[in-house]
Amino acid sequence: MGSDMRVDRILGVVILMVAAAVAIGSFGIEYSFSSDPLGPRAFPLALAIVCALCALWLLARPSLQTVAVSPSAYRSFGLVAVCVISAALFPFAGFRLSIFLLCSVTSWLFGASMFKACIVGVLNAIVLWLAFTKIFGIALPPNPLLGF
Amino acid sequence: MSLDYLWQGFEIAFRFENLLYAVVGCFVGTLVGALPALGPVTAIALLLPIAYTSNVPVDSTLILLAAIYYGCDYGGRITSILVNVPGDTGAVVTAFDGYPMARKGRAKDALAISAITSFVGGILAVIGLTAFAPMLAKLAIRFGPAEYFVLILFAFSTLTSFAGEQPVKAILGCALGSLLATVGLDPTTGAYRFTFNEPQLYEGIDMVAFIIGLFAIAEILLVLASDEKRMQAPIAYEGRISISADEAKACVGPTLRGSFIGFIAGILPGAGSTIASMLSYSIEKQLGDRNGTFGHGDIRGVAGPEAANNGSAGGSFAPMLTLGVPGSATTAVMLGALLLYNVQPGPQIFITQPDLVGALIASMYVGNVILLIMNLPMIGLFVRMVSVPNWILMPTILALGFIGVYSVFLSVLSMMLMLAIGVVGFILRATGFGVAPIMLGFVLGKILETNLRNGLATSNGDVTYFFSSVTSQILWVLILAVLVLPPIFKWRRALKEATARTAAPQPEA
Repeated sequence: MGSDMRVDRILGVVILMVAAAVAIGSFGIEYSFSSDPLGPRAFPLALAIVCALCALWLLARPSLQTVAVSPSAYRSFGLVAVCVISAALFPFAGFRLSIFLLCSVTSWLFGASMFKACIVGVLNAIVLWLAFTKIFGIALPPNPLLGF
Repeated sequence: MSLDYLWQGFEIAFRFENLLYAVVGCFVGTLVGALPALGPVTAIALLLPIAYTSNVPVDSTLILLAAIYYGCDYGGRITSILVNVPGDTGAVVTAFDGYPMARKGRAKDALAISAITSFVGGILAVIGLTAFAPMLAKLAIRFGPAEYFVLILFAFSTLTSFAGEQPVKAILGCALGSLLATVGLDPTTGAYRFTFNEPQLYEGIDMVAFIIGLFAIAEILLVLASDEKRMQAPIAYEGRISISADEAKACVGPTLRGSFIGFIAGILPGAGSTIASMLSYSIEKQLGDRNGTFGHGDIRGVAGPEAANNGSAGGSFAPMLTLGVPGSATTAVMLGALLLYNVQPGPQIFITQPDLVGALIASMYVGNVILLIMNLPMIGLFVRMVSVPNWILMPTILALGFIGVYSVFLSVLSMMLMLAIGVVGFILRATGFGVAPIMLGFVLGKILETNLRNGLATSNGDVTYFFSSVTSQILWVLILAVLVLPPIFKWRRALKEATARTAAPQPEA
């Protein structure tokens, strides 16, 4: 991908594909009877057309913004990864362990040292657990192995 | 319309626990307003599911969330004035003259005048809301599908027209938001749309996961991806408040005009606090900038926009409560809060839920007083908290988002949905999309479709039905005006500049 690639061109192509998928999907909506003349297909179909027209507009007149992945943008990928992992672990590892993982890695990604990041993780895990289970009375999953 | 509902509301708002919620909301609001990385919607989105699952009653929840919303407009100015970074979007303009004032050693004066004008704007808007909301409800009681359909089109049009450089992205945002809202069971026919046979999607993409994804998750990703510049240290604010009588007098006009502009912009769907404060600033500049002092620390340039920005928060409650049609991202989330508690806003709300509306509006009088007190003597506390580093702040926000979504749904899939929406929201926002069109599309798209189809069902497919009543005709004219006038103005200005250039050629030409 060249550095002079316009962001809006990529967006335009992606949105065109989304619009096509939505249009195909709307024709596939099954229903037996509709009390109104439009039925469930028309509205998403109309929105798909609006999206497609806007996408064509973006392709024709893109803004000057170009694709530039700054080094710090890679940290965003790391953050998404740790979010997905912590969410997946939630019912298995329990609330405190996944929140510790989530918070300490996030803290580290935002520039804290390893040590500080671990403290942030531990504090969040303990304080939020106590606050939510004891004060707000919200049930959060415990760690099944430790049993608490 | 009698004001009985308000007196009853004051009784509820003055209950001890509700006063406490108002104080907490005002404090959180001022704080998140002052923190540039956090906005009111994120804070409200994070606290809503927590309040809901810990069984806080609906009136207390509303009082809390509303206080965060209008409290935010008090907090935003602090960072604008002391650091030259707006704490929230409504406070961008406050930095124009507030920061130069602080540079001249008048930080305390700028903070004081902006707190007072915020209060005036806030209180006047609540008075306006008290008087105007029942009137609007009375008018809206005769609204049918046609009026609602055109009203929402009007909201989308103003949103597009005020969208700035790329209006096409506002249209796209509305359309994409509306598309996401079509997921799930179609209530009129019972058809499943875009559910991919996933039972959890049968009831649609959940509002809580959507809001937390679009605001909290996307926000955190944006902060992380932008090369965070170290925020410079706040300017020290020393000395005594020294606002002369002349200056105070000069602020009266801008404050009153600003409050009015703010209130109107708040009611208008799609306009909101940024436009209100910009408009107020440019009007004050045109009216009063005789010696070129604006932009160099003119106190009037702080007073007007701050009043406008707080006025818009009060005004924006009117259409959300009485029409069920929110005009901004924040009120859209407030609407989501009401729906979560099974309260249906609309013209009937003064009849079906007089206590709730009364308590909410009454609490806004109380809250603005609390905020004034908080923001005058306690300002130092907030200034110190503004410099909390992101590596402490962000992990906690993220954790709160996880807890919020999990506690409502108890499912990993909702958390994944939240993350997916967060990533899409991040990409869209990083490429120049506003968040308001997507959010409003998500909330209003559903209402738009329902009213379109109900309208066509009653008229047997006759499209002229949507043009038949006077109200809808007026709204169609407004849509035309909002869409056509700004480009004409722009074109005429460009033409004038071009002729001016040819009449007086540049020296190098």
